[in-house]
Amino acid sequence: MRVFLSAAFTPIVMAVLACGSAQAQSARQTPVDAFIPEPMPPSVRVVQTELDGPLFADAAGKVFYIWPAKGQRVGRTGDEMGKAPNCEDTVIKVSAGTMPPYPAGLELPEADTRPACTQVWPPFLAANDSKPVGQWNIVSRANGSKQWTYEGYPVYTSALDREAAAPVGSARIRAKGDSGNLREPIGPLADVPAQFVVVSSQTGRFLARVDGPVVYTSDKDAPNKSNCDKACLGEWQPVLAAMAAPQSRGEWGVIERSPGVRQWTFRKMPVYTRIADSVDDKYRPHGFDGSDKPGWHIAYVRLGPNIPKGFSIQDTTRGQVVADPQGRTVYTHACIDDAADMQPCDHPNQTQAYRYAVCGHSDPVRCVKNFPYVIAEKGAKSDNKTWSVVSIDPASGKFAAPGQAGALNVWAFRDRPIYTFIRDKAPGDLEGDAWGEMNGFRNGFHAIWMRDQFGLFNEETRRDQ
Amino acid sequence: MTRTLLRSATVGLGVALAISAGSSASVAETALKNRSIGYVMYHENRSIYETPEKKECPNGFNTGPSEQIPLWTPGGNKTVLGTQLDYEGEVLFPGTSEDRFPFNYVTGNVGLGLNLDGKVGPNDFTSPDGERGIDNQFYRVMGCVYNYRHDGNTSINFPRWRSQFPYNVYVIELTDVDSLANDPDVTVTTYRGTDNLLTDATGMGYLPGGSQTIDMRWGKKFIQKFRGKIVDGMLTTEAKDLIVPTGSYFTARDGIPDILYRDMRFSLKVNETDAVGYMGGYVDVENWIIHSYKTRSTPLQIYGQSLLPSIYRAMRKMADGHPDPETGANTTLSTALDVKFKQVFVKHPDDAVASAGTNASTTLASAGN
Repeated sequence: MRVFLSAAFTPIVMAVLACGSAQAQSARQTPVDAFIPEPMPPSVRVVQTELDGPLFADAAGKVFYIWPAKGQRVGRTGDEMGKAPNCEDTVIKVSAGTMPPYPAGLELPEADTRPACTQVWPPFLAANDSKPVGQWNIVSRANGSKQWTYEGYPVYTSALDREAAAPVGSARIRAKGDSGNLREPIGPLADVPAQFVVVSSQTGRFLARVDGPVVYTSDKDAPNKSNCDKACLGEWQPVLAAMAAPQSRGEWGVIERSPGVRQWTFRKMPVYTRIADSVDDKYRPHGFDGSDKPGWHIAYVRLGPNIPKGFSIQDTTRGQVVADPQGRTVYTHACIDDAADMQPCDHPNQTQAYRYAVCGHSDPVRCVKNFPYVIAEKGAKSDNKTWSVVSIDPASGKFAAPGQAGALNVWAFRDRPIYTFIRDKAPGDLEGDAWGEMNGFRNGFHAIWMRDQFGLFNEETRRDQ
Repeated sequence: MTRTLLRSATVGLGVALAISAGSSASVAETALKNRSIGYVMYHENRSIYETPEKKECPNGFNTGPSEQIPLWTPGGNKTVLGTQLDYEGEVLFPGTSEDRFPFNYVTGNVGLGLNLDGKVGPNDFTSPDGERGIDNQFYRVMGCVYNYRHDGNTSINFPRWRSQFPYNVYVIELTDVDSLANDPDVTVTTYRGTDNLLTDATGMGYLPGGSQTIDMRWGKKFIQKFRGKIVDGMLTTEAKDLIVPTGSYFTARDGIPDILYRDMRFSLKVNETDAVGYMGGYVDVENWIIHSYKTRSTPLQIYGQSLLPSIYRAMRKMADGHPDPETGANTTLSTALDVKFKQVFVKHPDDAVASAGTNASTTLASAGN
């Protein structure tokens, strides 16, 4: 199965094509993630998403998630493999005490209107006559209904997802140990040889060797021909294929560099890793330094979505971040609450109490002053699903009603407003990054990283193989 | 030739071992080249003077979040908003009202560090060697916070973060050096390095003779030049503001918690293999408190009994430098760092490489445009 380039991505590809990149040319021909088809329930399909690659979705295109149980600093939350779901219909009103020193039993913000877990994460219910297929199975819920599971974990959709193939309920590029237990979007395996993985990043989904180093292609090569000579080989290492590897499989092929020495090609271009990219450097396993070498390109399976027109990428002391038209670093707010069902608390449809605490010591006015919204120009719009313009009621921090007086049209990333920070004085400043609880991952702000020199892609990013 | 051999040692521990046994003499002969010598920092900690009897803390150590958060709201508030979110908000936006909890400062007058202002004041410390006028009010505040004492969590981790986390590789290069024994006019330039430190067979000790390529792409913020002199092997420099890359394991992927030091200066005993001594200056209170929080969030502050809202108030109270031009209140706290460096060969990226990097950055960035 192949899904071809959506119109939203044409500008990216054309921009890269203008640079004469052979890699980009092949990207244009097959610009989306190839995956290995697998048996699925009849109502399940695979959709291509901009940042998370191919994911399972329902008939309407709403992406599926699972919630595998994970230990927290105190206790454990999530669904246990093969067991009945822990995301239930009852409304939880007190904290679980997973993050010391804060005890369990504290009343949650806006407890009276807090939704039940299943209102935020509707179970993917199975019909009574549904039959298990492949990795998909069926589990009974407490109320007697049947729910699909994938690889043993109950499957849900997200009430926050408003568009098909646009998973904003949770993302693969956000998670970290102390983020709480995030739901994970699920999808089929990437169709790559066993030596490779596909890594999600804001710049796109790229290939890496399974042991870490990023995979590159060279402008000096031609389709199915390596021109990497002795000097080149001092810095670049061809990714070699075993003798048993097939000559061609989908987008993958093999060339023979010399008798018996076989090198993988991706979209016809020979692939390499950079020798200087250490396989055992846990802080920089996916460094992008090779892309600084003229003529060398990261092997993207697909490029990421366009940032809004007028925005820019700024260098910082740690890599590159997205900045607003004035060059100010922009931030997203991420939050998971401390209830047993660990609901997100970073979306305009949810309580703003957590954000207000870390952006203004619970003073909404101070909050807007410290972390102002990024106002969208009149008529501004995005050409993709990752970035959007939303209408916000600044008094409540929630989505404004249509035509509401005083509403602000602001830029949003994954359906959540973005902000700048009052303490940033110059392009590249990052004072608002990691601002909040647990380095900003549990309840706080982070820059949108396009390139991280010091390990952003280490633990946060799920790698698909 | 020796230099080449030493560099190659970085690629194999076995080779490193073979060379290290006799490396000091070889490095000594070649380390000062073209009137320049580099060093990479492998140890950093706050200058905290401790006695076995803990005499400097007669009232004991301060308590931390575990002890004080249950008392955070006197009325026994049982909401997330009134406890957790109020406390976290207070850390990020600390107030200056009177602390509701008592704070235990270091008493006495024995301390470590440098005389930063050239004066002997009533709050200054005297070193165990008898040097008077030492300015280290950071010690006055932190000396009774367990986290910052020698067996506290931060004191254990700081040296590791400095030597093992690539973001923190900190290099100084001495140029215009005629002699490491005596030279009235040398230049000290600070950089961030990009290479792993050269270790001994244990992996815990560090060797001279490694190399460090300077980070001219991302690390420009950390470059600062100091005029200095060497007298009897002791390097001292003028004072300047300095931003030091100071990430932690917890922030490798979490944020940029660099520390801003005001009027920082070096005081180091230097030779062909080592530079050891103090860096002394003033920490900016606002910058430091956020650095501390980003480095160690509340669940981690528990380990060392650091209650940041109380520490902030204590820092403000004991601040002794850089008065705010509008309010007159001091904004910085005198401090000293115990630092140790090993000699390295400094490699400066040539212009072509630096330029290529910049252009490539544009190319990558355009992938999202």
